[in-house]
Amino acid sequence: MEDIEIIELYWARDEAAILESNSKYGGMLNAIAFNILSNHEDCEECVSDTYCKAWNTMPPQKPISLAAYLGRIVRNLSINRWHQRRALKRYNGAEVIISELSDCVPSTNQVEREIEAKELSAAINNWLKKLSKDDRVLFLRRYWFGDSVNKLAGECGTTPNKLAGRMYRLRQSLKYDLEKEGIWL
Amino acid sequence: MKEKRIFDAITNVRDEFIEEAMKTRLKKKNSWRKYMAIAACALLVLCARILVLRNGTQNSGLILDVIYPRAYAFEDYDTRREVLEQNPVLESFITALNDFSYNTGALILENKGQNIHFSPLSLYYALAVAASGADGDTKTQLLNILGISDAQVLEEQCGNYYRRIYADNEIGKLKIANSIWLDNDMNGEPISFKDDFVKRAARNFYASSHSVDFSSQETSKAMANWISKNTNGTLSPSIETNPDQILSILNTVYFYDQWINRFDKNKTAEDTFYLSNGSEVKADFMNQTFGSAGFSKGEGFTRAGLGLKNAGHMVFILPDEGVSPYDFFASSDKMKEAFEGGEYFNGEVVWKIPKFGFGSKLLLTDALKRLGVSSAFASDADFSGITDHMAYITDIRQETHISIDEDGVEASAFTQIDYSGSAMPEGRAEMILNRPFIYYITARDGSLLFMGICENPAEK
Repeated sequence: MEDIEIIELYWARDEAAILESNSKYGGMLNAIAFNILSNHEDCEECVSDTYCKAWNTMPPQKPISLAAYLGRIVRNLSINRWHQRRALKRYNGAEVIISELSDCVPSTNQVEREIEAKELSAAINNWLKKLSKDDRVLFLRRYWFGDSVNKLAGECGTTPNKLAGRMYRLRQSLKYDLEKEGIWL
Repeated sequence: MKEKRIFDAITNVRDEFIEEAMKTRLKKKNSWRKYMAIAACALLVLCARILVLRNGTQNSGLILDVIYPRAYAFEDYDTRREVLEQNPVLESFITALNDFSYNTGALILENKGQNIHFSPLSLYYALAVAASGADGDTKTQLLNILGISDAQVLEEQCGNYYRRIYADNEIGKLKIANSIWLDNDMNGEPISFKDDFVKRAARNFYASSHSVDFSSQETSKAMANWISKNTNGTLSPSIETNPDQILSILNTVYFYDQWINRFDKNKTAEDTFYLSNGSEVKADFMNQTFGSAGFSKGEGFTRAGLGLKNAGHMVFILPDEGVSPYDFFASSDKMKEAFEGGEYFNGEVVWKIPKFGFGSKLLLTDALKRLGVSSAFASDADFSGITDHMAYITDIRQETHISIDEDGVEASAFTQIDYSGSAMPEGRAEMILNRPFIYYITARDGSLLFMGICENPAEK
């Protein structure tokens, strides 16, 4: 089924939207979540929450690319869950407390932060545009879809070490471009 | 937190870049053909047609994609051990798989005066998928030929075996891919499929499911694309679909690996290959000699193998002069004797192997009927696990390809295990493959992935 038809199902409040989303993108979403979380149970919950969030946001949203839309949701949910798990496991609750206390911090710079985030995304988009198609795909397969270096190396017909070197050069190139644009993190 | 900001910014890159990354396969820095030592693939097409339409509840079918096992690096021995421990395979399953290979191979590798390459594993998996949706006599006959009496055990073992042999690393690849193509509409009449079948096929056979319209040319294109993608572009067959068709099961086995001991390209030289019809052709022969290696001699043949890095071995059976390779396919017992029997020796083995690469197109339906699978092809076939409509298999075809060359990597620690500490040399074998010979490729467990007869290395 085409993306536009699935989105129409969401707008029509037809639950088949979730079944169709799952059959078309379930594999991709599971892979993204698993690449971040490495845990099947958490991964399943994040994918399930992704459909829930998609259901609650369409309408009013009408994404052009459903893959990108659902992928972003699952990435955000997965990274948040990863932070929660990490905080619980490694910091014995301290990070949870700090995170809760962050609610008390006045959010005067929220707008500024959002603008900075948009600038950063724009700079990354510009950098991606300058790359060769193969490098761009490689970068996003690693850092957007979370595919392993081993898997990507296999696909490129190279060794994981050589591919790691190529990834390092790409990251350095992005760093150089961001600095040139005057973006400091 | 800086990393989190970068992560979030990457999350929000343009949709078009994400779509592009999702749909694009990375280019190989070197063509796989350039560095592979041995490559083989197979495509199996199983078509089922509907016979009579009965009333059924509308169900568009849960269409599922597959998440393949996680790939791991060649030298990641811990993960490899873990995978093997988590996916036990019964010895009886390997025996059943090999018996199936002998039973089918003895009928399929018949004398046609040309090269022939067959993957019993590909056929086994496609039939196992069909068996998981069969019932009654149809199921009994399929399980009988597959050598496992319990359908659930068969499914579990197929799943475990799949995960054990799956390899996708910097050295090579062994991937079985299955897909089920379902038509949920027959001339305006809805056809219902069982969700349970679709789910089990994904879980145990890593079979992706596709809902299609077999009367549309787009379906043929989509199927051809799937095949090309899963065989790294080595097979690009034209697929013909029929409006009467309701189901097609595709299976591909894609494999490439490297010799543990590569052949020295400087030693490759042109020489004469003697065909069975008395004529001669020129071929490039790879040359190598092992001071101490295993080989077997049986009635009318000498057999020896070469180790592969990821998989098991590629084994060659050289019939004695004046003996036809087809003599060993007269029966499954005779074939088993050539593949497993003979007296084992350890000594010097001189190799002279022609470089070859060819493809085969095989029709397997008759061979299966001769082996007692009749119900699945008859109008009263019972595939009630797949659909409530009456359906039967129309034909099973296999398309395969193989090629070998010198390349590989330098000897590793494996070489030591294979070739040192062995007994005193007891003899000498000359594997001078300058006349028609038999070969087969085994997986790590010794099961047969591919087998064939090279009649003429110059034939593509």
